[in-house]
Amino acid sequence: MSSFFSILYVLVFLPSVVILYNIFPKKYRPIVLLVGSYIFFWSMSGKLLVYLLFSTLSVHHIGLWLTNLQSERNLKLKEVEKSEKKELKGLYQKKQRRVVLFGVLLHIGILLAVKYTPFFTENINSLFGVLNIPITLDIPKIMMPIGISFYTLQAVSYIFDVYREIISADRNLLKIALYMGFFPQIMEGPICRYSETAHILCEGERTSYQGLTMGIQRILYGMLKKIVVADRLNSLIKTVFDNYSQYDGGIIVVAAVCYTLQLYMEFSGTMDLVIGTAQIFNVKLPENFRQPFFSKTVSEFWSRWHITLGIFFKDYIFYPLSMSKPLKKLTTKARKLVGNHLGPLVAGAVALFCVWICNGLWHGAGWNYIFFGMYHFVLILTGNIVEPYAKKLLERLHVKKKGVAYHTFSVVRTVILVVIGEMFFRANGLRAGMSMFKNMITNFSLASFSDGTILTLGMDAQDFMIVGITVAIVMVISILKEKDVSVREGIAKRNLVLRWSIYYALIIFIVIFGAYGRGYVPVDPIYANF
Amino acid sequence: MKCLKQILRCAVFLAGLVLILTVLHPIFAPKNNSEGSGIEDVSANGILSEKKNSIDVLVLGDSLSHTAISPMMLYKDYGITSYLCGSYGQYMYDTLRYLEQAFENQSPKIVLLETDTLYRRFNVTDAIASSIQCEFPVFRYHDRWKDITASDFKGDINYTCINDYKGYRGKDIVNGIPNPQYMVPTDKIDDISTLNQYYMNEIVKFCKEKNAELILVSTPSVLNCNYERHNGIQEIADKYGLEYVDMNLLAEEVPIDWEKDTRDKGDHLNHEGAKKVTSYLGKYLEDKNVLTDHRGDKEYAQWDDSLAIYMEKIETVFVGTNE
Repeated sequence: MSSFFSILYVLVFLPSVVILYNIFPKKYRPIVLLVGSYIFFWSMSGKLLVYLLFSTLSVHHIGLWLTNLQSERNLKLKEVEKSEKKELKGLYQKKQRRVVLFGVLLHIGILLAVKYTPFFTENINSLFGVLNIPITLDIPKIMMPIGISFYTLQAVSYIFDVYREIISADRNLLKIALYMGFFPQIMEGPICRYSETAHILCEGERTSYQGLTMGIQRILYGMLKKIVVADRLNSLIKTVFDNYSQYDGGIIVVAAVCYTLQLYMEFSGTMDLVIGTAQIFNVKLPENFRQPFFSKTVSEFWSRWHITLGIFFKDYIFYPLSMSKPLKKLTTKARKLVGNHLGPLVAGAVALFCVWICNGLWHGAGWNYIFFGMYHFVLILTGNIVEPYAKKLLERLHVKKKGVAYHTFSVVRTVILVVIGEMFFRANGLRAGMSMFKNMITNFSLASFSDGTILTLGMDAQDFMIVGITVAIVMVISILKEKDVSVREGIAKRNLVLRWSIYYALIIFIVIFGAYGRGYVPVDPIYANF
Repeated sequence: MKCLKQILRCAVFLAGLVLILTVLHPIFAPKNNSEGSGIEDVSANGILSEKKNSIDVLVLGDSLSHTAISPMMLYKDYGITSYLCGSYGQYMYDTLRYLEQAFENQSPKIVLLETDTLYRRFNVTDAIASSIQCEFPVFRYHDRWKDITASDFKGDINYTCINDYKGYRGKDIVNGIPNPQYMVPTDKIDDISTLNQYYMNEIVKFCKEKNAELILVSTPSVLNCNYERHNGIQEIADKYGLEYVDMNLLAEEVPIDWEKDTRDKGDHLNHEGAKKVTSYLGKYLEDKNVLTDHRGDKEYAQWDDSLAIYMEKIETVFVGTNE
């Protein structure tokens, strides 16, 4: 299987797992899911399955280790005098912290080793070159198991949650194995908490008719986004990003917009498929997107795009750092120096910087990804700094912040900033990104539209038309969702003839207008490579 | 009861979907086999325009087949009517599809399978996709939505494009390689993948049902042939009781000069190499005494017209590619 959208997955693997899951008695159903998950992982990464198995076993062990320490502490707390309790708690907290540190270093260490060794080695070689040191290290080629960036974060969140006593460690290895390796989410998330999915995964409830139909609907919606739009845009994006120096700024803008659109359609489409698949097994996975292109600020955009990653960074990096003693002290000092608005922002900036450097690096080992992270750090920090001043300015200019005009301006501004960021993200290296940006600004022209160049990049007028129609459909559904109107529930309430007609129309639309078969190269699962 | 009702409802929905996909096929199917009609591989599908039951020898395989065997030469020298349904990078599932398609309108007595395709690996997904495309051709030709006109809804199909080279795609480029030693005897066997074996079995079964003799042919190729593969193919030939002609081992009968007769350093033959292969193959087929010499037969007048064009464009003023 090459992706969730491969024929083998959609027509063979998934139906087989669903059938077997329902044939087996309730207590064996989680085992069916786990075996299915490991077969899926094996088909993608082969022997690298050992990475997942190792992570699963180690997380299980570390969780129990922490819980044992907590139980031991609780027992001793009952036996000691009140005056000694604080000291005892401190002692056990230290012990637990050591275990957490070990667990986090182990998992993040594997991720760093597998994902970043070539990047670090390359940069060390460059540094040696600059310093005239005649040493060149071999750049290792390390095979990366699918989804390691996702399940590692789940492992880390489990360790932290046990440490924080939000959950207690599970002795049930099957549960942890399913939490780590559940096949729909292993490749591109969403990044779940143990408390969100582990129990429901092991309940083994039979697939309900409603779950099946709603799940399939969601899968089809995801296929519409991925196969009709993301794959159709692939040719143009590849042509322009690979040969950016040959095109004027107008074309670069089109390619950057198309890439942002492709990224959204690919990733959110995959999430639709993932969430729909889980729904068939009665598992409710957290949403990863909430109409991001309706955001008024970049900060809001990131609370609507890849939501589970944002929450992970917020809960496990931003808040712990902000609440740490050194940063609290910094806030107090900064308040005195620069006032109540900017003061807290100083410590916040440190935490925000850490979040965005991690965010950039999580997406890939490359300077353009680091730049991508820093770009958003600067935008969000600037937004936070100027917020009260902007508010005052708007008041003076009598601009209504909740008015349609300002709202539209804010949304368009955010989209433009996001598109620029994504262009750097997709560019073949930071230098290429800079060059494209420069070209966009200094060499902007609409000549390529009037002379027909735009139609020679891998998409003809009909391709643009189909993309436009599909994007309009997705847009309408998104607007309704934004207004809390559920299209799916609306359809479900209609009579059978209308309902089935809509389903047939959707399937036939994908079959006919999907960019697959001869002449098309489907886009690889973009987020699976992060 | 409720569960049964739900299963029944799913079955009805799927049946409706199958019906819609079937109804869509005549709309999306290419209405001709010409360039621009939207049909895949115009050259290999040229057989669709051939007169019913006029082809005696069908050749299948990947690019090694359509660069090494010239059907018009077989007609000119032996009166054998053959068609080459070889295509670039042909996989065994494509081979089976072309075979089945050819027999819808033709009854070849002999089927030649160029063996390079037996070592062309593919995965289960590709095989399933191919099967689905065979059952519901709308998946193969869905992209024709861009060219669909009102006449497509009538569904009238008329294959009018006669391929004068009968699927041959020779080139006169010379890009040689000095004295390659690529057929070093060994007992080792290059195993044929399970999927390819499955399709081989299907092809053998199909040919038996149609009373056509299936012959395995390895045309000379330095890059694609070796003794391990020869052994693997021989094993398959023995298993099914098929004749196997490995021209890589017939240096005297097929005297390929690798400095002159290849167009890409031993990967494919050029026209001169193809002439040597076809000459040997013609004699081999003639010796079987099962094929009729159609030269001079009024029913095959079109072949004479194609031969004239072939001679004019290929034999006398060969200019690069003739695809």
